[in-house]
Amino acid sequence: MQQRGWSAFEEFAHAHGDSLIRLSYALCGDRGRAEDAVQEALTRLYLRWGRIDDPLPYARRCVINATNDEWRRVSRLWRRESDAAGQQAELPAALDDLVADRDRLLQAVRSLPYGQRAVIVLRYWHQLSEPETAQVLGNSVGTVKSQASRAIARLRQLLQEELSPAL
Amino acid sequence: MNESQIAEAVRSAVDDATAGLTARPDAAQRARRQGRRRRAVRGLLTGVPAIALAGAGAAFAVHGSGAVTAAAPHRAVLTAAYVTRQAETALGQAGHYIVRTTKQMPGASNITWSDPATGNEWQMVKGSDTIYQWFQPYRDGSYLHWKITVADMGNRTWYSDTVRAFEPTKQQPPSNAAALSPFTSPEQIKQALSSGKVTIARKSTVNGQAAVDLQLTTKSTQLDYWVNAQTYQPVEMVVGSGHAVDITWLPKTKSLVTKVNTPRIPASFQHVSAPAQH
Repeated sequence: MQQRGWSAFEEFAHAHGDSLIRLSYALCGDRGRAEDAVQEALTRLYLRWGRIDDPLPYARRCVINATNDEWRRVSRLWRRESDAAGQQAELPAALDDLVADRDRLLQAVRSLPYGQRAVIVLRYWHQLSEPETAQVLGNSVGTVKSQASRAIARLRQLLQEELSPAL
Repeated sequence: MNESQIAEAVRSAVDDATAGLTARPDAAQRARRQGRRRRAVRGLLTGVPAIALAGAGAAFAVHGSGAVTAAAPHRAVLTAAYVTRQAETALGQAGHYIVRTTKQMPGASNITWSDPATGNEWQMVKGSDTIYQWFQPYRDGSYLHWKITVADMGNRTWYSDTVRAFEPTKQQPPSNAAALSPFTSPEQIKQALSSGKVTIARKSTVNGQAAVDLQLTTKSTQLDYWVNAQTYQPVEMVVGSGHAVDITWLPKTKSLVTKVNTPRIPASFQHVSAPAQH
């Protein structure tokens, strides 16, 4: 914490905390998990503070990793509980061929494999470029391109016609 | 849809879903506390004598000024009266949210989005077919009525109709379809809490949130009503021995408000007459 002091860290958390929690929520859809993931990410960032040049991409990467860690932990627990109850774990609801409402779009995004989901959120919501997305995820630009392409193809399958107001 | 349309749809959906989400105001301080604790533990593991710091981390909160003060104690005993009061306060602020209730049954699920400010509801019933229905309350004479709009995704038809409450009432809208499904409106729950016998049955984690079970016993039924242990907003309820109903309080975004309050039917759907009876 020599190069950037505590006040700079506090300022960073204040300026970007909301955007980080929204990033996590977009990936997992659970506010409690998103809060935990962002807290974990900020702790990791605090421990590296002063030793990284550009904290925002690093913070985003921490959030994405922490959200995935938390997601995996909860998914395992959930699967175990479901198995114990003799039920098959429920998949995200299949998209109705006539409804393109936003909750369902989010479900579709969240049904993507985690890597593709992160690419979609960073590219289309945060509007990062491919190189910026690759930097955050620690991947190559080629991987980002291929993941985005696969994710778009999958989402295209799921999105259907618009609804019009009832008379 | 082309890529830019999908990108726009994703942007819009995520914007809506995350609107109003904010980080905890003390996130930086908590990160510093946890970071210091981890450093202390690492120091301990590598032989550095950091026991004092780790102990301080566990028992005290270190403030920005460097002063060390005892951390605020957790409320050791939660009384039913206290939790009920907090829950009623939270329910009083329900108008700031869209309340989503989810009920899973064998082979079917029922998701309802309610706007407590208007009493309007949008409901998705998934069984062998998917049905969307909107309930919009209004008053006519002594009776509350609901305009119902139903879209059947299976046979691609829709109709609208009205239903009347069973008994006359002085109640004015907004009032959601509580008469049809008890304990779904914040007002109903508030009334139930104040009229029944409430005890704190247990504490547990519900939907990833620390929660307290307010068990409400009335002459006719028993209600397990789980509230978030910090915000006291409802997170789940189980009426009698029935299925659990999960409750989520969603930020009131413009698109969500429109979705709940304005029936939307696919343009290609055929308009049919309402069935003779509901």
